[in-house]
Amino acid sequence: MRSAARERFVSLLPLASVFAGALLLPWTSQATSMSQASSMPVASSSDNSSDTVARAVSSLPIDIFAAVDLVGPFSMDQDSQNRWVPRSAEFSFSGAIDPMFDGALVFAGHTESDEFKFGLHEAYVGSTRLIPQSRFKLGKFLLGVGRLNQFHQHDWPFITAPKVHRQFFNAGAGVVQAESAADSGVEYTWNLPTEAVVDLTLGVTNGYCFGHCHTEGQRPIHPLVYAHPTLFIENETSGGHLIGATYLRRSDSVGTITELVGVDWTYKFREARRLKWLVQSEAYLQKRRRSGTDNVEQAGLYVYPQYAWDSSWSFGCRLDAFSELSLKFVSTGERRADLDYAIVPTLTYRSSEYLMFRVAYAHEVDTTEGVGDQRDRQFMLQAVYIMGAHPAHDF
Amino acid sequence: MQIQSLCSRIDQARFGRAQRMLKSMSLVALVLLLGVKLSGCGSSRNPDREAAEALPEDQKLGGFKFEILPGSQLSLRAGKLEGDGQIRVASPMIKVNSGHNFYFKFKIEDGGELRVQTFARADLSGGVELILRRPAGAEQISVALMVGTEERDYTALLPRFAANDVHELWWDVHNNDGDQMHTVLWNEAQGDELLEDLVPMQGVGVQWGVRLRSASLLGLDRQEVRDRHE
Repeated sequence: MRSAARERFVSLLPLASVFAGALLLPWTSQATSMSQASSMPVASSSDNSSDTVARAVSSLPIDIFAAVDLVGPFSMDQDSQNRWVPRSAEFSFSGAIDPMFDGALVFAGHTESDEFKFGLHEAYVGSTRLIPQSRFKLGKFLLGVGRLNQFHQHDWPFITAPKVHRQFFNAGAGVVQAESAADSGVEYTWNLPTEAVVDLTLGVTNGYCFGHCHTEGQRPIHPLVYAHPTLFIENETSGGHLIGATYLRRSDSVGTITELVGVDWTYKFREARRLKWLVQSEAYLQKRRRSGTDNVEQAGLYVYPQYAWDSSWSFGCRLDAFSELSLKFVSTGERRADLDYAIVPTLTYRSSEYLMFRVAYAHEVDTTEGVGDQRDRQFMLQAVYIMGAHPAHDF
Repeated sequence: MQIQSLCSRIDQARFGRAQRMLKSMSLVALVLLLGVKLSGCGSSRNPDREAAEALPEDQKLGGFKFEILPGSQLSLRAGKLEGDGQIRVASPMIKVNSGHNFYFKFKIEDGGELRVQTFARADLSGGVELILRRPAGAEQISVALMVGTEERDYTALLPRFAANDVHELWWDVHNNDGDQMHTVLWNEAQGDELLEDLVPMQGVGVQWGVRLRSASLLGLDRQEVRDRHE
């Protein structure tokens, strides 16, 4: 009993120290962490073990790939944006830095307003081996919240993000361009010592820029913090359920506080090489408050079931819903009903794991009490190809 | 124990049961969506529109009715609003987190000023203002953005707006660009896009209006944003 309690205490120490460190450090922590890294002891050139490390490092695998995502939206209601675009082009390097640490470096370019802009997407160092039953990363990365936000656009099971993701993770971006939210900071994931596969992810990031930003952003009053516990339930056959919950809190430079809570559920069922069934869904509630103004409360969800006949062809249909719950009529203060919904059937053909074509039809309707419905109907084509070794995702 | 019980139940599910479950969930989601759609959003009741319709029919500019705020001395003749005062357009934006393009056609007298106020409260405070000013004796109009208490002068960055001329501007205000407000200014007569900027706040309301001082307003409109970030 005592040894089990001691083990549990020891396994909790890294979690406590990471969080304490993140709170105590000035939260423009990148400069501090860089100086810490530079002050870490380095083996002298005369040390014989350095030759061993060098030989080990040179043989460590690194995955290098380029991914291109081409999209052609063709709207029946707003034709000004109907054209093929290279939505994104990504160059990625990931793998072991040395026997203890891993790293990733991702450059990505995106088309926006007829310009192709290239920039750093992710750059982080981490380890799955340093701390028992834990992994962490330090740098710039996609925030480990929700389901869709943890993947790059070209890895999504559909062409464009549902409205709930666009509004809460990439506000301001267009329908085609909306991507996942990334930031710079530290993220720690602890695999709980339970029989069930339970992970707890905690993160603290700068919070200068969240979502679609034209600049580096402004210093917020508080850093961005988030938590994402998950439970994985494996099927007898290949596949299972991954269920998660999200809490995210951030502020801006003028004191607006935004809190986001949500749940995500992903189900996969495989038969041999075929992902026969995929069901992916997320639901969120966001509250935004600032002194002197009314709070804004919004909620949204999507459900995407997909079925594959074989290893090449699959069909799915996504249902989206989004609502501003706090909407009111200005003249009377009465609550005003609001619902945006969409139905997006999607057909996918995979020539191989490196090349995929997709066609979808998005029927989006914006309904608000007292005004006529606004429709946006789009056909979309997509081609994604990958050159090189794309690392597999965990689930 | 509860997790083990759950694992045990899931493990026992056969493929057929899982398939039926997924089909049922998709059907439920579809019914829910249709149900919400039928339950409320089909209503045409709009107290905001009713309030606007109660205003005098001739108190309109560019198709938009407006309220003249107290303390104003404004006159409207032949589609031209002039004088000193403030109007609040009786067609508020629907959502605070939204973006719009505001068009206005104006002329400013010597020493005068015109302010376009957007995403503001009922008293037109708390939003973002585009300020067009003709200092006494000046030969050109100055352009600035008021954000909170900060005024950002753009005059040096823009083409020359001759003081005595009538001008037209199209102004995109994106009050839904993450944590910042994104604005873009166009003037099709002077080379289209003139200026793009980000301001570190967002407007707090859905009202919009215009404040005039020795100025006249000849045209007014509000449309969807021109810069769609695609």
